[in-house]
Amino acid sequence: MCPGPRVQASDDAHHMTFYFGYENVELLFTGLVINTAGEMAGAFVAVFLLALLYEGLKISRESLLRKSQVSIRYNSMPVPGPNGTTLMETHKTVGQQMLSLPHVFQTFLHIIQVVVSYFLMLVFMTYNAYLCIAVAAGAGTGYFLFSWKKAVVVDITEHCH
Amino acid sequence: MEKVDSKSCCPVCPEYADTPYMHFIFSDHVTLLFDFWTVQTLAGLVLSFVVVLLLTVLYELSKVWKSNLLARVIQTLPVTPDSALYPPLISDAESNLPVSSDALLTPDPLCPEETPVPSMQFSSSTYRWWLLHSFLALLHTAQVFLGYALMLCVMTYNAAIFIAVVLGSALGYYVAFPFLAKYPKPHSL
Repeated sequence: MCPGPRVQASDDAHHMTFYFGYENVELLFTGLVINTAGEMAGAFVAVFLLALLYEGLKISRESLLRKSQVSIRYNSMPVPGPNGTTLMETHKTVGQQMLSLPHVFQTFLHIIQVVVSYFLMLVFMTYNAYLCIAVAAGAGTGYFLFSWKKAVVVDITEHCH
Repeated sequence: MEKVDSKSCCPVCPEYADTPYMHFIFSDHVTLLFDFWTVQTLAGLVLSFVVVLLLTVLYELSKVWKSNLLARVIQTLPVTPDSALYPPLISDAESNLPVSSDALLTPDPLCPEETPVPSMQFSSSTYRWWLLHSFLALLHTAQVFLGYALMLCVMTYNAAIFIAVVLGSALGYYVAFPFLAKYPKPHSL
């Protein structure tokens, strides 16, 4: 709780406020220590792309889910017969939902999304201002690049209702 | 509560005064986010409480605002996307973007429904769409930053700051939710 005086003051400093610095910044893993400006630039780009990927993943998961839901709903529509009493087939499609390929794929993407989001949180927790800016800017850019698709998809589903 | 104090823990080495806590404490010694935001008095703590509360309220308001703007983006969207959306979008963005970005967004930010539905002329429609979309991306950036900053505030384990975040979130949600545009939202923002 009360350790002795440190030999090197800035060696393992645990920052508790935002700071600009590119020396001895540990990034998520033990071997991954930033010591030069070039390495910080690379880390900035990597974190930026990670945040961008996170936004893209989030939005494409939404649209994928909506697509699979639409297809399930479409499958559960009764076949246009003379009287139209073929509702037994819909139960089969709903029962297969747990083991269906889209659901497994969604679960896989969900795992990636959780891992990436925790990584981004931990990167922000370094209090390094460059990396924090990379997280926020990557999220904004990802939103800019991917969310117009979301607007279109929402528009289509709204028309479907 | 008062006995556990970092000052009394290690008077010899003052650089350990801000040793990170791993449990909640009531203390008027806290440093929030920036070096200059160092609180050492009760008045400072009260001020920080109010500031963090307002930031959290702002965060909640911005979420509803973003949702309403997204609804307006959908309204602004051209009816036939394949013919109208893609080719003129880039040219409109290159030519018209720095003209006026505030004129569309300033009037009554929380209830865009009261403004009339934009005219569906193609050039102005895509122009508006592009402006709103850019602004949404900026708003999203600010939201991400603010959200993480509030997380870091909570992570100081200062109980008063934590209460400020919770109260601000509740207050912001309570105030902002009635302004939510009434449209079916299949996603949570």
